[in-house]
Amino acid sequence: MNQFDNTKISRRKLIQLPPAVFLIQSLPIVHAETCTNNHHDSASAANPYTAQFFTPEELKLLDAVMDKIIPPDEHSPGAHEAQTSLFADLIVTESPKDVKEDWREGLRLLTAELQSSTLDEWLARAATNDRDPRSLLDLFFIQLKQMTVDGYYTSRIGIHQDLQYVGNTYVTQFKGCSHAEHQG
Amino acid sequence: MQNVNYDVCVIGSGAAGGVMAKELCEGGAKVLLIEAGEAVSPGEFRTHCWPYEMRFRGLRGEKQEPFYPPDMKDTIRYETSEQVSVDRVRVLGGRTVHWNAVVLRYAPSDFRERTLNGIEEDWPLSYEELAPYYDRIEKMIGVCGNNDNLEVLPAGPWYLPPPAFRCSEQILKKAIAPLGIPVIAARKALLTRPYDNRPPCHYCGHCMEGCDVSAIFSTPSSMLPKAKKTGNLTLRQNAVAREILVDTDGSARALSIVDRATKKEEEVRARIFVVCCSTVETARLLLNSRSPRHPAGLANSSGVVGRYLHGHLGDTIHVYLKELEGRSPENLDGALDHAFVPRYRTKTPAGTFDFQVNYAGYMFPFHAKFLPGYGANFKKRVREMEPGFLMLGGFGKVEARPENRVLVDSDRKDTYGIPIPVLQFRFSDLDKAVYAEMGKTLDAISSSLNCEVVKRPGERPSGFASHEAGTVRMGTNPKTSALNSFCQSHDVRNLFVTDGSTFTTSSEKNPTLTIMALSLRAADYIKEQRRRGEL
Repeated sequence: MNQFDNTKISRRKLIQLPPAVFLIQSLPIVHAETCTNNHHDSASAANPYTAQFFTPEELKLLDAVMDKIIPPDEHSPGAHEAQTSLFADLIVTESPKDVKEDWREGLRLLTAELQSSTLDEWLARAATNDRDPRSLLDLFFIQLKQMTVDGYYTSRIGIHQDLQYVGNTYVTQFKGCSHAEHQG
Repeated sequence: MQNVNYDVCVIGSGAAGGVMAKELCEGGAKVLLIEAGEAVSPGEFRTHCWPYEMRFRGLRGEKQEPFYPPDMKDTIRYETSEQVSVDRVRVLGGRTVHWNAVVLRYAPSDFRERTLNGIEEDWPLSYEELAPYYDRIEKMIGVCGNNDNLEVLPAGPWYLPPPAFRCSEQILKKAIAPLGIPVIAARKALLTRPYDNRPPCHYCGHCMEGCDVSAIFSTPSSMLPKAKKTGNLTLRQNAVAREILVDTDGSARALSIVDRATKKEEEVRARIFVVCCSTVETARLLLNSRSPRHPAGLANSSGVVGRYLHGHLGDTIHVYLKELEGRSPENLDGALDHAFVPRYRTKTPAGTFDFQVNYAGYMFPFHAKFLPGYGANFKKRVREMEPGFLMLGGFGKVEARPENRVLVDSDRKDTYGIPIPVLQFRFSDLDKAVYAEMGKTLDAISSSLNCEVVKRPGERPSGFASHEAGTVRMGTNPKTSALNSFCQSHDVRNLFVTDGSTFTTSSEKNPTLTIMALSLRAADYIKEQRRRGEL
């Protein structure tokens, strides 16, 4: 295949693509065939990742709160469908002991908090202190949000469906800005 | 000298070693090129991998992992409270395999800090002496850009056309012109037309992950094929240099290498040795090459080897332009930075900085890390802001000072039994002044734009932006420098060093083009000396 031809794709590569990719009409099809090294333990439909660190209860809570941070809307699915909690599990599983302890303690504090508040009430309070965290739970919110952002915007859903990113492809010419109002 | 197998042994295959090996091979010398790493073919690059195709979504450096083998981990110790780090790449081609390829000529004034500003030292050569080599190297590697007729950024006679500006760069240019800050096309070792049997850029925005079509210059794609074609090149990969051994007369006799696979040690002999291992590793090799004739290390009778370590300081700013918000997604990747802000405050040392624009890539929405809030509004806001992304990265001068240095720790060795380097470094008052001025300028730039600033510069500078330099500096005085103006050791006639360690001082400009020009000049000198029978 001519590497500069962005209209063709090999059949072998084609059958490796998950079906969801074909639903995104704006996605140039060359995209998903370009990684020649996707063999390093990335999760796939044939080899799905299963949680290693969080308990089922912790994972359920994590999934719920992450889906509140980046929820589904009319434009695209949210963090739940992007499996952001499983991404968090992988990252924490592969992190040092103190990081593991932070996450476990954060979820424990959140569980305790939810005895007297709803998730929405806690999120609203924690987000108010986003720039000036005043408690361990405020800090945990920041940690949680960063993880959600990392997981969501590096997922297929985040990149292709939500942001509708159209790069990472071969183009023969970069046209640059053509708007008259922006020219010098 | 008995049993000499090669005319020249070049140690290290990065920007300096590549041009040196090619030139000497084409000049008829039998060259042994030693590389501690091994080749990673473009087919193995992870250039176009999507985050979700990698285990940690690329957040743990998986894209560049092939260039950083495990045996380089924990092989340096930092004895500093500053935020500095050095690049520990180990691959055939060195840093040319994954780089942003910004190539800038030093200005005449950059070689004369002592004379013009009363700081540091003057270089032992002038811009005028190096200019012909800048011309040749630019043509050799293929550089896109313009001649902007700027004294601070001299230009050569020929460039490929630069990539077009994005809207954000056009807006930047218009907005900061009233401040007297120019925005010009970036000069990069990037092909925008087919050239030298290499295809042009395909604008995927992944220059730093390795260019899979070699539109960006690299030693393996551009220099080594030419060197191999001569039949004069022997390439030895996976060979870690332990020390350079000397004859009784003190001249370099052999290189002791350790095979990475077998860990067996052997000696390779040559008439001339050229060290191109990069600033820290070159100093490490010379300091580890102690002998009765050279008790402080090879080429180090002056005691300067390892000293005068410096590099670039820097920081970034991320803004989102209001007038581009909410636009339909379009492919903005390009070749990373297309625009460049050259140094514009040329009369004060604290103004020694420039800015590269938009080299961070467009796939990940950086602002999502900084925006307050959560929920549907947060998500919508991230999406709306994305088309307005504009970032500037400042690169500032760091003074070359003797107290900043690389040492070796004989008590701590790497997996091959070689003492590791230890780095001692503190930013100077002038460095901090440069950083402060850079921050003020970034604030002035953002104030002139209708934008939302999501990341401002921090409180402290960081270094070295992969631009380390200065540990085996050139100079006219053998008592205060290690090399002459041809990168030849004052102490050891058949020893040369041509990487960034040779820099007497640094400017705000990226060092690679100057490294290659110096290496080319040294190669010409070696060829001439060999022709005369003096080496």
